Amino acid sequence: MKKEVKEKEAKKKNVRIIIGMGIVCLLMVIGASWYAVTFNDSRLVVPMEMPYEFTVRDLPMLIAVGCMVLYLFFLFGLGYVKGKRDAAARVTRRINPRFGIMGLMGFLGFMGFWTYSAEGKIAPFFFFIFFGFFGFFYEGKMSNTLKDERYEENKCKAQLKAHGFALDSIFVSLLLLCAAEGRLLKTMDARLIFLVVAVSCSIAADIFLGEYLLYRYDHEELLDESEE
Amino acid sequence: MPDFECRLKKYRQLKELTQEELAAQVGVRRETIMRLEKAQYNPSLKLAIDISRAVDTPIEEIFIFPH
Repeated sequence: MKKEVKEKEAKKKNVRIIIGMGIVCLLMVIGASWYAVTFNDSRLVVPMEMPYEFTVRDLPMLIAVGCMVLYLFFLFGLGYVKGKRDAAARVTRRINPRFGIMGLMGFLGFMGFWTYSAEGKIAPFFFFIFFGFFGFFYEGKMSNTLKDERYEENKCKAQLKAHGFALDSIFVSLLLLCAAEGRLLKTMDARLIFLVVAVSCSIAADIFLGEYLLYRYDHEELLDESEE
Repeated sequence: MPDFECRLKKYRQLKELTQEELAAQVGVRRETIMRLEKAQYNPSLKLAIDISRAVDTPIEEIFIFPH
């Protein structure tokens, strides 16, 4: 019990250190940007003419950006190691079902209609992918579950079905795109938007269905869960 | 749905094991044992062997597949 408490405290301490490092790096970049704008003619802040020639006054910005890049690499490495550890673990990762609310970010995809009409940009349509985050709701429900053979079997079955659905929907979208070409979707932009929306939604459905079906397979058909 | 008869419950009770205890012994969840007892899950050979060792009964007496 004491060991668990100690481990939890050490974990909290590590998280605090990592967040602290991030804040320090961010403050360094802000400070260096202020220095560059105030004393260094905005070099390295505003795009400058090439070729680049080093001056001593560039040092704060170079150090700050270097630290930030190293920090981001560190975070990436940490995420990679954690992902590997989670995959090798005997239980599923602990996650709060409330993270499923992040799926609402998918509605940001509708921003694309506005950005396209105002600036001709279609990138925000990719935000439809975030609808997949609704899957966190079901992943949270399966949080800290022992990954026994039935879990692994259900996971494979769920992912297979989810991938199949996503591929089918992309295929149908392409068919529709070909059928509607020149009639409904007259411009190249309209076709591209249709494709981006279709692929984003298909990937979102893949992410969501993988978790939802896993939960359903794991809980279906067992009416009486009491020990007899 | 797997088409077999499972007599695990009988042998587990003979061994005076709860579902939880048996699950812990063979490294699965209690829900998996429940489904096995209701013949709703077809176990792997390894799990079947682990269970048969845990309840000291031959596999063919626990899982009965019709010819």
